Amino acid sequence: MVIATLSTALDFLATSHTHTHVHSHTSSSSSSLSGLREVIPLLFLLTGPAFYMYQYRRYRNQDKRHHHERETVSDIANVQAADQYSRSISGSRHSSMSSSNEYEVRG
Amino acid sequence: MPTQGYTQPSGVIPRDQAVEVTPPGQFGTATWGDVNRAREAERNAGYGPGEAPVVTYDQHDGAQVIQTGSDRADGLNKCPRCGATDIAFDVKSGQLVCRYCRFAWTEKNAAEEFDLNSPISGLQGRQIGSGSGNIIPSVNEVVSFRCSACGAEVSIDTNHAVQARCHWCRNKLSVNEQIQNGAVPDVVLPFSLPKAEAVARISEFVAARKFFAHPRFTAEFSPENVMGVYLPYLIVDFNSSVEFVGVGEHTTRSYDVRVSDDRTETRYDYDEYQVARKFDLYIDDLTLESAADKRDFHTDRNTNNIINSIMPFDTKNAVRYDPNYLSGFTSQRRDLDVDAMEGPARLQAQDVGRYRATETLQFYDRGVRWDRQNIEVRGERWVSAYLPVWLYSYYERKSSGRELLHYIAVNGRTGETMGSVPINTTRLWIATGVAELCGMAATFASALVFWR
Repeated sequence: MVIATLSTALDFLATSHTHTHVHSHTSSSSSSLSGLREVIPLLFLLTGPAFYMYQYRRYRNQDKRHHHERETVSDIANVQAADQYSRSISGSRHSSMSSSNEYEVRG
Repeated sequence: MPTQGYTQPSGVIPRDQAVEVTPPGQFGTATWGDVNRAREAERNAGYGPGEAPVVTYDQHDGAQVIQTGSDRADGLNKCPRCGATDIAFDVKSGQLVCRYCRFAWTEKNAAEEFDLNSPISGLQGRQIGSGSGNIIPSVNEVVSFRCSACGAEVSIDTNHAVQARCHWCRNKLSVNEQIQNGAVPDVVLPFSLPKAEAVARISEFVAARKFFAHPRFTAEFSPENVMGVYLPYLIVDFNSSVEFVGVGEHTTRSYDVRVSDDRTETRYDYDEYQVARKFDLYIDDLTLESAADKRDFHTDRNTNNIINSIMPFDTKNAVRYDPNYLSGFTSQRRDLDVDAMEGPARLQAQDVGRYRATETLQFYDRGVRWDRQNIEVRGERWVSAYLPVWLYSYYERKSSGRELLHYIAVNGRTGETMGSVPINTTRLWIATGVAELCGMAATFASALVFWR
């Protein structure tokens, strides 16, 4: 029941999110103020799902775990680094690399 | 082949086999019984007579064993001053106290006693505490003792306890021998957070989550029922070398471009680099649950992630195992071996390495993608431990028939608290509806302002 309702909420959030995303493509990434003005009213539609998710997470804490990657005592030595320039790319629309995984946690 | 006039005694090996294949002298001092046993062993192993290879065990490349066991196997852990076995653990002082003569003492620090603090960079090969050996399934979980004080037979179910009182002479008997069923670890980290403090923390945690809590949970909530549990963990040090190879991107310029008359977008120029990092990584006291049921982290069917999240423990303060630290608490037996935990431990060690590598990657502001990652373990040191957890549990049976065990856990050393509180879904949905209505009103109002 809870999962079903949560997934409904998630679906709702996803659709709302796509909705805003469509707008952001056309306008929010623009640096002009008009784009932002267009999105702000739609953001208020997320109040319900955001409230549900926040409360669910606060009570059930399903996302909590031991962060071994940061909380384990470790020491490093003999660091060897290689940084070889390969090419330059211009005109990317994205400010960060989409496939980056330097903060991935597998264990 | 029996010769005429001679009757071969029954049960001996036929002469043709015995004589032909047994080199003279080999059984010089052996009896026929020895010969029969050797032949039988050969037959059982599928060898013909005399064909069995001679196996010698001069050396082995297995793990080095750190002896952490006591030489006591009599079940009696006595007061060093008066010899009584009625010993309690006082959480406040962290000391074992003899109930008979009030003498108080502490077990030796495990790291110093077993030299577990030696530099990790010097570790070679695998070292395993003698209490972390593989669990042999046939070893009984119920251990029978002959009370060495009066001779009575006493049984202890090691699944739940490591101590019992002799019903005849009232001596307290403890499982102090490292039997191979995972009930006796190398070290124990005694509770230092008193029960009253754990109760207060759990009450506070629940009080902050009252409004949407399930009414039955709230009605039945009784934090004084919290249990002190020693849970089984494996603690490992790794002397390793990690290597990461991949691609990194560094922004060189960002600028706005006009995409239509009234709209601009930001564009980014960047340089791509082949990046590699290789370094020695010394992991100190990586801690993993070693009970199979506690390593199941599927949050839709259990709340084990709660117990996981209250780590880390100050494992450096663990002491040599003494069952008296467990008196008044319950414990769970370890049922996972070092072999089973080796893979997960290496993955976690590699995660630590990956995070440490980011300290050298500030130049790559757009990120780094590792295509090849490798960890080579040169040396490792494993010890098993009982770590202290205050555990409040609540069994929720939902109207749908689904059942879920909710935990609220408090770290028995640091007091870190985390929990799962069952939710009153009806109330949460109503509140969500109200919130959404408010959101829609805000949308309408702001649309009037912004969309004119």
